[in-house]
Formats: sequence, C-alpha cells, structure tokens
Amino acid sequence: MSAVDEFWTNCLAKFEKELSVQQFNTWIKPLQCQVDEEAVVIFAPNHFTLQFVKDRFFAKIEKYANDHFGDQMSLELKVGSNAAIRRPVVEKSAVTPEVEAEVEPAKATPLAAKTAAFRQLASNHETTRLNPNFTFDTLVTGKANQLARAAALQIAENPGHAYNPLFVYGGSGLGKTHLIQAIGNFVHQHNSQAKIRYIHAERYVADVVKAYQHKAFDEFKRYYHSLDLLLIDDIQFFSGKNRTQEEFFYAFNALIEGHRQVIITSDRYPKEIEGIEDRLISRFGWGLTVAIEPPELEMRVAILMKKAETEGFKLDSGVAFFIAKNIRSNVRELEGALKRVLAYSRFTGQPITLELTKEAMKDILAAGNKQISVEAIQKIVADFYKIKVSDMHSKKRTRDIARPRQVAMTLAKDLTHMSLPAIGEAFGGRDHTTVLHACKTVAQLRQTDSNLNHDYNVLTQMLRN
Amino acid sequence: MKQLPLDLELPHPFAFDNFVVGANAELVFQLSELARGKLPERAIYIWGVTGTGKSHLLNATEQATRAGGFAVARIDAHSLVDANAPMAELLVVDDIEAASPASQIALFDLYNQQREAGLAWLAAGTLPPSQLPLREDLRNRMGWGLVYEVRPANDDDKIKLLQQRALERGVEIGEEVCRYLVTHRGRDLASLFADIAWLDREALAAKRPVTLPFAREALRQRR
Repeated sequence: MSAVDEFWTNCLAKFEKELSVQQFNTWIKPLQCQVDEEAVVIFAPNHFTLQFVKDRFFAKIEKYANDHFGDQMSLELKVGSNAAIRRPVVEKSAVTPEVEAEVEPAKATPLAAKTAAFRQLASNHETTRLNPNFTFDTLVTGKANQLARAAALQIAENPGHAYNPLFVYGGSGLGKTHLIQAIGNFVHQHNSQAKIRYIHAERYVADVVKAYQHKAFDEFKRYYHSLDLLLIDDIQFFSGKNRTQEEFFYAFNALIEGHRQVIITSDRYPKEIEGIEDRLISRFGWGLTVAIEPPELEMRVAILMKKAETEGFKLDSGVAFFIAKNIRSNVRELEGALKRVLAYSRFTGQPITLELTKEAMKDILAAGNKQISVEAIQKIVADFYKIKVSDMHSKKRTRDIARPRQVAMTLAKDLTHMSLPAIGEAFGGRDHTTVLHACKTVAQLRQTDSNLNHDYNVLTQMLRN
Repeated sequence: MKQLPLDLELPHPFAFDNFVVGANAELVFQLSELARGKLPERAIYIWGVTGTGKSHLLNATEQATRAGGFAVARIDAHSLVDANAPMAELLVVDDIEAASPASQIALFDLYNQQREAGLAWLAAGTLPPSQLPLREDLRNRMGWGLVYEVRPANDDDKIKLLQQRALERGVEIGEEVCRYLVTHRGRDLASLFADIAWLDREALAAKRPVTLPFAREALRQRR
C-alpha cells in the first residue's frame, strides 16, 4: 500500500467512526485523494460536496494529513476526480466534461466562462438523478395503480415508441415518482448508454432561471434536447412560469420528434392544471394519460410488508392490517406510521406486536380522529344556511340550495384529503367536474362577495375546532 | 423605601437535561439520537399546543447537535424562507404552519434536499400533520418521518418544573405556592414561568420570602 493509500484509508476509517453512516456515505466516501510533493489534494464530485467538506471537515483532514506526513503539507480541495485512478467513463453524462474542465481551470474566455457557468448548473445534472431503489420490483401493485404500472412497463421496454408522452396523475404521496423512476431505472439497466434525466419541475424552473442569469441557454437547450428519456415530476409547478413553459415546449417538441421518451407527472388531470399554456396542455394528451388512485386496504398492507422487508424485518400481517386500516390518506403517512412503530420498538427494546403497535400509534390515531369528515361538513354547512342535510345530496339546483352545496364541496376539498371524485360521490353521486366547478365558483365569489368570504372563514373555523 | 430590582434576565439555557420529560421520554430519546446522527430516520415532526416545550426541545436538539461538531441551520417560517439557505446536518423549522405559500415552496425544496443528502430535518407546529394547513406535498412530508405529539406536563411535573426554575433564579418557592400557581393561573408553562419571574422580582423589591399569602397578593397586582 502506498503512503497515499495508507493515509487516505486511515482518514476514511477515522471519519467512518466519527460520523453517522448517512453522513459518511454522503460527504466523505465520494471523495478521492491525491498526494504530490507538497500538497494533499482532495477531489470532490461536485461544488456542493466541495463546499460542504470545506466548511465542515477541512480542519480535520488537514490535521490528519499533518499527523501522517509531517506538518509541511498543504491541503487543497478541488472539484473533479483523481486522474490517476479515474476509471474509463462508460456512461455519457453531463458531469464528464465538468471533471476535466475543473481540474484544469477553465481559461477566462467568454465561452469558457459561459461553459463554466453552465457546468456549475450541471453539478445538479450529474448522472440521471434516479433513486436506484425505485424499481418495478419494489413497486407494490394493486387496483390503484395497475393500469399505470402496465403502461409504464410497456414504455420501459420500448421507450419513445409506445406512448409518448406518458402522463401520470394522482394525489401527492401515492407513488407517482416511484413509478416513473422505475421506468428510468429499467431503461438504464437495459441500456447504460441511454441519456436519462429525472428532474422535479421546481428544479427545472430554477435551472431555467439560472440559465437565464448566466446567459447559458444554448447549453441548457443542448442538454435537454439531447436526452433519450426525460422524466419530469409535478409539472403543475410550471403554472404561471411562462419562460419555463416556453423552454419546456421546445424541449418537448424536440424530444417527441426524435422519438425520445417524455414522462410527466402531475397532481391533477392535464386539463385541470391552471396557468399552463393550452399548447402544452394539449401536447400532454398526445400519448397516454393514466391515473394513480389512493391505495385500497390490501394494497396498503402490501406496501407496509414490502417496506418492512426492505428495512430488514418481517412484519406480522395482523400488525400491517392494523396500521393500514387506520392510515388511509397516502403512502407517505403510511410509511411514517410504520417508522413510528419501529422507533418505539427500538426505544422499548420490545418486539413488534399488535399491542406495541397500538401503543406506538396512540397519538397518531388520536390526531387522526380529529380529522374532518365530509358528513360533518355537510351537517355544519346545512345548519349554517338553514337547509336540510338531504339537500346536499339532492338534485335541486335552486340558488339557495346550490350555493351552500358548492360551499360545502369546496370545504370538503380544502379540509379533507378526499379526491374530487370521492367528494362528488359524497354529494349525491355528482361528477368530479361538478366539484371542480363548485370550487372555482366559490373561489371567485370569495374575491368579490365579502359576505360569502366571511361565511367561508367562519365555517372553516367551526369545522377545524 | 422600595427596593428596585435590576431588570436583568439571564437567558434560560435549553437543554435535554432541564426538560421535564414527563410523558415525552421516547421523544426526548429520539431527539438526542437524531442530534448524535444515530437515528436511522432523519426527519422528525413534533406538534402540540403552545407552552408544552416544543421550542425548548428544538433548542436542546440544536445545541446537542452543535456540541457534536455538526452544523445546524435554523429557519424562521414567519419570514420568507430562502430555498438556497446553506445546507447543514440539521435543519430546524419552528412554527411551520406560519409559512407563506412562497415559503412553503422553499421548505418543500429544503426538505427534499435534506432527505436526498441524508441530512436531518426537525420541524414543529401546533397541529398534527393531518391537519396542517400547508400544501399537500409539504403537509404529507411532515407525516413521512417520525411524528410525535409533545404531551403537556401533568400538574406534579409542572410543580417540579416551577420549583426548579425558581431555584435557577436563586429564589426558593415552596411546593404550596407552585401548586397554587398550577391550579389557579395559566395552564401553559410559558405563562407559569412568567409568574415565577414576576414573584421573584416582587419578592426582591419587597425583601420578603415568597409565601402563599405574598404570592396571592403579588399576583393580584399582576392582573
């Protein structure tokens, strides 16, 4: 073992002891070390890690270096990788050119400066940004997502040629991100040359702003237009962002024309997204649009069992049923409840039994009981406007009944986690577009009619307490 | 002549060991694990009514984290949250329901950033996740990690706490007086502590020990 290797191995071992596993893996493990006559050079994979290591660990590394080599060594931090141990880069990714450019500092020509600015931007673009755990294997399937899954699998097997774009919509926390990343991981696995990029819409917006500030639009365009698979999450965040929409419009067209796959998610049906240009909305419908519904009980149980399995323990099905029966809203909170049970078991040193689970979930359940039901909303609104509760379900459309009903529907949307179709169902089997119309009407009226706005606030208060 | 006490208040140190644990033993344990970077789950959301000690716990966690040589960033949800806030091993957000729509977007970004980097997140609010008036995607993230209700101290715990707080100020206030405070005054600790401070100053001014009759009289003036 060379002196460098020995130093770095020791250094890593010390950090591993001092830091949490996550911290070690996030910040220290990706670093590479190179030593010449006077200096120890540490390479960080990106600016972000570099800054963090500089702020947090510089003094320690310096001390270890001085202890090891004597005190004449200076310590430098750079972005890039150790040339001596750099492996041949197989994967085409945006980070590759950055490595070279940063190790040999870019010349100060305008073009180089521009490139450097974009490279900085591209530090977010490293590789695909896919979470390797989000695969089809780890995705639990049930009625709620089987159609979406089948479509996703078809696309994964034949990207760019099956349905383009794929538009997946459904409430927050139901597994949209998992599903689309599973496509990305599948494609990556079968074709490591494919240029894949997952990005959250919010981050895309930020990147457009950065490209604008650095006048690096050409690079921005070149990058996005060169992808084989673009996965863009939560597109509703493009609402009102005109410049972003324009950029995305061009990227979208370029990709679709080139038979490259585009996958989009949103928390609602394309036509219901407000503040997005019609030409984009209509394009979203060119391929296939599929919904993900909230998981039913059996699926929630399966999700818990799977989650427990990945955490490395076996969950009793009785326990899984208990949790699943009580947490109905979404997958995130379902996972949260399981974590709480695990944490309690660890704290008490007791195995996970039904009794322990009930105890651990006591305050989650107590809080859940305070959840506002649509029945409560209908009752309180009916009393407030002195109409009958049955009018909430009736077909009557006179103003004095329809308006309170619209208010109640809007309250149901604001105060419960029910989907629009479920709300429509609870109001005499109405269509979800009726609910949507009600919400829009009430929102407009609240702007213009201060009495109605006041009523609405009072009702909200009454229901919350 | 009336003695005028100097109006000097020492900041109260918030640590795990001067928090009266009461029914919150598990929470305190998990928070101290979080501070040491030893908790497998990296996100905690705590909630409870005002005056149960949420801020105390946030501060204690912040201090314990710093003591371990880790950086902590504190976010004020009342003002506009900057999505480019510097990263830290622990991000602390108090009063999350006060976040404006723009701040909620920033918090959403910050949460994801912390999570992706394996860094810790600790937030507090007065409502359970299911009732938080936040954007749905931020709201359900609060329910994604560990969620704890900070349970209010019971009366005996409160009495113990008040006596302890009085001693820290260098004044002895008997159990009888503390029990009177707990049963007759506000129910939240913040206002009870304010009563203790008031009694301390009044006693100094009057050069009298804090007896029950004195306390009654002094607190009548406070109304």
